[in-house]
Amino acid sequence: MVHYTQVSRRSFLRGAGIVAGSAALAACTSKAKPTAAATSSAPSAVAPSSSGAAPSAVSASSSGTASASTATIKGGTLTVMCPSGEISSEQIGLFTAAYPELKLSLINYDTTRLNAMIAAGTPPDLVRDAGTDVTPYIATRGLALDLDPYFAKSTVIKEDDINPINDVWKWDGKVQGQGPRYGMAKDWSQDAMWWYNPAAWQAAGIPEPDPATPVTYDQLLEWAPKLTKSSNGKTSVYGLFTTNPSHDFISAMVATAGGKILSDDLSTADFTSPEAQKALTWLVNAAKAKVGYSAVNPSPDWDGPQYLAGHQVSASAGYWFGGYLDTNNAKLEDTTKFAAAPMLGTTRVSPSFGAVGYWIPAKAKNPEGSFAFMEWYCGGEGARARAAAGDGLPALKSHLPLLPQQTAFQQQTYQVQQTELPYLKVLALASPYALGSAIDTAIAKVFPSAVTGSTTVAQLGDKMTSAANAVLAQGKKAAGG
Amino acid sequence: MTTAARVWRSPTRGRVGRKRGGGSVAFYGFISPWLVGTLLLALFPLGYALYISFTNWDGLSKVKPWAGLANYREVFSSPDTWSSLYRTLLLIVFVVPATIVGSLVLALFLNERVKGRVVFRTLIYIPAIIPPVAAALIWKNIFETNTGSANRFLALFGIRAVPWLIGGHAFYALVVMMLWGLGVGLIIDLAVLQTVDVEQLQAAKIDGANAFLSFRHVTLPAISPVLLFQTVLVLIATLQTFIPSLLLSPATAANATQGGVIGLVPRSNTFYMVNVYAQFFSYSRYGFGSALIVVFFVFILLLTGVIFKVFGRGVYYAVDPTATNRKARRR
Repeated sequence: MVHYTQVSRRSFLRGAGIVAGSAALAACTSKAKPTAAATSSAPSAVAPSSSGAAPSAVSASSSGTASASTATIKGGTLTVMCPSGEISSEQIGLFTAAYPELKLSLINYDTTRLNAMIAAGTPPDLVRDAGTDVTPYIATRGLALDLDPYFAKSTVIKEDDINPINDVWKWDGKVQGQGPRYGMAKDWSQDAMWWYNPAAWQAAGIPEPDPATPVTYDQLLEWAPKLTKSSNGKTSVYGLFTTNPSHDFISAMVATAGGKILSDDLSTADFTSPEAQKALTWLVNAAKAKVGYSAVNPSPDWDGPQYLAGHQVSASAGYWFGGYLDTNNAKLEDTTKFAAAPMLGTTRVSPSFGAVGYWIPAKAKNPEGSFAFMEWYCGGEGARARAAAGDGLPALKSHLPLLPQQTAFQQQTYQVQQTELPYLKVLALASPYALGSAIDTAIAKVFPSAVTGSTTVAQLGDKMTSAANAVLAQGKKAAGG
Repeated sequence: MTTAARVWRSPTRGRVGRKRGGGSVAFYGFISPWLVGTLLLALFPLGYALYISFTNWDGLSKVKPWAGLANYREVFSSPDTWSSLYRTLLLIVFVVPATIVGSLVLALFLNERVKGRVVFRTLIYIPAIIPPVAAALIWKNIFETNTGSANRFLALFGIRAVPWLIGGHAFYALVVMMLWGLGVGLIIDLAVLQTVDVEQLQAAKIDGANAFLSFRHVTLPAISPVLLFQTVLVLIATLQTFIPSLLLSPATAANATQGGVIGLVPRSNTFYMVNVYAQFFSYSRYGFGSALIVVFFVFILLLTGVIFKVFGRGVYYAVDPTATNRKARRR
């Protein structure tokens, strides 16, 4: 028997509309529970360097020895959140040989996913981040594990061997660089430095710069149009590396003119100072000149692939970029030079934007296992192999002699790096109230108006200050401040 | 001109409820698995979102500071809310009519007995089954300023390259990408066009109606319920546009440092849901983000109601379910 359904199509459609709206709302707010088994595909893009490595250093450590604390480690799978391809399958093999009771499951780094995993109470066992940017934020919220007890027990990492750059992973509640350690750098670089193809300078009839002597930002902007190849609105080669109004980049520029962006208590930002105005003027002019990717002409990728493809004659990156070139196109080493960080003012400062490494979430299910990986990757065998391949400056002082110096390219980069080291300065880039990405998003929103001409640089400074301070104030409120 | 279509007024709930209570039980019995799942998976998050909207939670902290109505006040006073809503409504103006009319016109052509219509139907439907990420990559390659085929084509006529994915141009590139997938509507329209009574069409022809009049007075009333349904679905989907906007932007995990992923979405494509996403995941403002979507939920609800009220009057139901039911019983 067929029953008459009393719901008319019209009312059913109306109901469907309501349910669709509800579902959309729910989808946006539900506490996403990520699948624990979700892993990225086996990384293979980044293989250990095949040339330029110091074989003795690698082979000496390839026995797969683990820390003495192995006996206390609980077995299981460690979920490591890092960019796809950064940890090679060979490195995974070496780690699991040293720690047979542990397995690694890699998931791609994604802040949205990280938030969801933390909110669901199932964080990864290790998270890859930039210590200069995140330490106050994750420590203030109790998200990161205090690692002091683990470092104290470590037989691999000795306190007096830890490079001071690792202090960016310390936070005492007020000052970055003091207090307990919440993470460790896997490697680091002086990130305002740059790389260039001297052949482009020769072809443009410009005298090649001295790599060890800082050029000025104005000089870069003067050269860039001559190095850029454009026709009928299309650009085949950009003469300048990507320039974005990120607060890291602006802070580095401003530091060379004796200024700063974040206040001493890290609760406010100021882009109206004369130094900041000078930096903003340069950034706006660079974007207007269309001589490189910028906030109004975003790059389809980062500088690395663009440089490899010959779409840029320079790239903004620190020492680690040498290892990247070696891995991805070793031939370019013959036509690439590493140069000192440019200057806006007269003070030579060469900061690190990253000290990229790992932190362990406070709710990680196997903290001893997590620390075993950190120890192995940032200070043990994994770190030695990366140092020998030139993939960044090592986190431990004792690994510095492992940096490759076999080829002419490696010698050039090593010498320029040695000259640059004395000018290292850790800038105040992080706030406990907001992540750097939040400040950068707010800044990016207001920047284009200055390039299109509807806003002056002075007005841009005011807008950026308001936008950044609104983000910081909201963060302070959220932290209960 | 006569039409066989006639208006069927749905009976009021109370009257039918009294007369046919058994039918109601059967209806809800059949839909209950879906209904229970939806309520469990939607109702709790909905209530949770409502609660969060009254706090200043950052999504990570253990504390959720109470904010009262502050987030709602900010929703209505924030220029970002209004500008993103304006752009969303502008997108609707372009996408919804073009999708409904475009898929119907294509369906009318492909409903004719023309040679190779199966091939054309397949070709037009294929874009609808291409995954959105792949579709976005295709269009990104086409619209890329320096290497894209769109600018290569323009160059043939000496036209200077257009930065399609940047600034105001990005809006039109997005509209083109969204319309590319109108094959879904086409399939629905084709299906419903084949239910139009041939006898009525022939009767109209005998009465002297030309193709347009037949369409206007026979076909259109017959398919109007489906068109209304399609309109509501396309409208709701367009209001929630987020993924196409993100996929067509230069944002990738690798260059997210250029102002965060959302910082790379052109302002012209920063729609309401893009703003919501930014509040949640760029600014960690879960409270304000929740308030934004609660308000948007109410907005969509009201808009849907208005559409049913305004356009529902013009919808014709050719079949009276009551009559069908009686016929079935007699068998």
